[in-house]
Amino acid sequence: METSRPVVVKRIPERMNQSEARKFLRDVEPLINSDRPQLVFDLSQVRQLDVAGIEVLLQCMSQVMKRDGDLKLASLSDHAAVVLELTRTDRLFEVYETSTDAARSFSMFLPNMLRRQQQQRFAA
Amino acid sequence: MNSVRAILLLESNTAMSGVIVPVPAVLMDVLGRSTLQRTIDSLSHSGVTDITVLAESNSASPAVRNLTVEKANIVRTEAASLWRTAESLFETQAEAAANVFLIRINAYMELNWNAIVQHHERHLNRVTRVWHGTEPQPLDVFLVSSSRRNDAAFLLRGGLRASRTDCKPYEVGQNNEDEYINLLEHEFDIRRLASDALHCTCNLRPEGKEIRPGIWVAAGARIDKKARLVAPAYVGRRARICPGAVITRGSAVEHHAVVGHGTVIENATVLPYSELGPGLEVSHAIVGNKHLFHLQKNLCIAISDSRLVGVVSDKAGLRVLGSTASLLSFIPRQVWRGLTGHVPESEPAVNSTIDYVKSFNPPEKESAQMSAGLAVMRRYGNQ
Repeated sequence: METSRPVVVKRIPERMNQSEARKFLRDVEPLINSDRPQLVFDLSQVRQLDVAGIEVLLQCMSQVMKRDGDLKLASLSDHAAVVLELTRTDRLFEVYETSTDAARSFSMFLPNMLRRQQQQRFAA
Repeated sequence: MNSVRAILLLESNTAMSGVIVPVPAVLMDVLGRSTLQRTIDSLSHSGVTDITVLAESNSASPAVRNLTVEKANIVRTEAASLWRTAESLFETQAEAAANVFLIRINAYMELNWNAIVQHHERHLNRVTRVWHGTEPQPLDVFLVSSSRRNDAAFLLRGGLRASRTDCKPYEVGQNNEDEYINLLEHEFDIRRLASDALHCTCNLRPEGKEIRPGIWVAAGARIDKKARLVAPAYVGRRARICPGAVITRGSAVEHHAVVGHGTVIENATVLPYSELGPGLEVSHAIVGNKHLFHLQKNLCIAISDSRLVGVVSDKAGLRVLGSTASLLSFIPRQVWRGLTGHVPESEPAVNSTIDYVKSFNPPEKESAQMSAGLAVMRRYGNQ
């Protein structure tokens, strides 16, 4: 039986400071604690990203990896892109231009997808 | 060139955004000295005996109001009467000199002032304007004969825009002179000037000593022995470079700036009195005044978190007070650490603003849940 797990896209709040970061972590905790979570964080709205915000991103990443899931970032705002580059955390995440691209990327390497691509190639 | 004098007009308005560079660009220190002071030095070195800087007394910028310069007199006047004061100043200077330079100081200029005077006299010009570039653009640099007071008055009443007589202009580099112009119109220009100087493209020499080829360090700079400076690089006076920091590819750390542990500065300028947190990577940027200007993205962003980009007080007393407070708090912290045997939770990581270790190291109980044979691998970006 083939099952596909859902990809959850979560928008990061505009201000990711100490208090907002804590609140955000509380919000995403149920998503992270699921089995093999597939998460995409949309950073298009971010106008302020503090050290606390980056620590939360790293914490989420670590939790997700422990559960054999994956966390990807998408639609980085200018501010977020510069702060991630400044703190050298951009290289720890896979970054996509849009949330759709990021969500699609989860299914790119699935065996089902590979099989389907092969079938399409043979049919052609 | 004893019979030549100069009047430098300093206006407060700046073509830049005013965020990352809060003072007029010519007053900002580039490699330890401001463009205004460098121009005065250059004029003085060429034999211009009397140099007067005309500044606005009611300027919004404290740097203009409290302006101090060496080798020049300062005359302060209200912005509304700047040109009228310049006119009367010209009349005073013209009585004791054959020619007077009128310069609106808004660019970095390495000009051969003697060659301009010779050009002026050879072509019997009343007013000589300096032009630069392959498609020549005028600079706000004029040499006016003292006897031509009406020409000077016309020039100054028109805000140094045009002269009423057509005279042969002086073009930068026309006599194969080693001349250089940087218009300081944009943040890029500030960075380009520092880079050009460190790469010896122009004659601007950084303040301080060249301790190794291409590495300039000014007096009072504190560079930890575990920090790395890769030529060309500049560290300004009383700047502090912490262990593990790397300054490379024509970067400039201006005076009183602090670069945190392990921070990499690459092709960037750290403005005076700025503090960079630990573990950062600043490349192709100008940082300071709680802002970061990214040169490749042409983007200026505000950084409110002082753990990333902070400000060092420009008052020596406050700086001493701050270091004393941190020293006093250090001893109880060490005693506490010795007694309890662990680092307090609130203490930041030593080598990084972001606590990577805490973020990625799983707690003991959770690691027990993982299968011993399971290896977790991750792709890092494009690798």
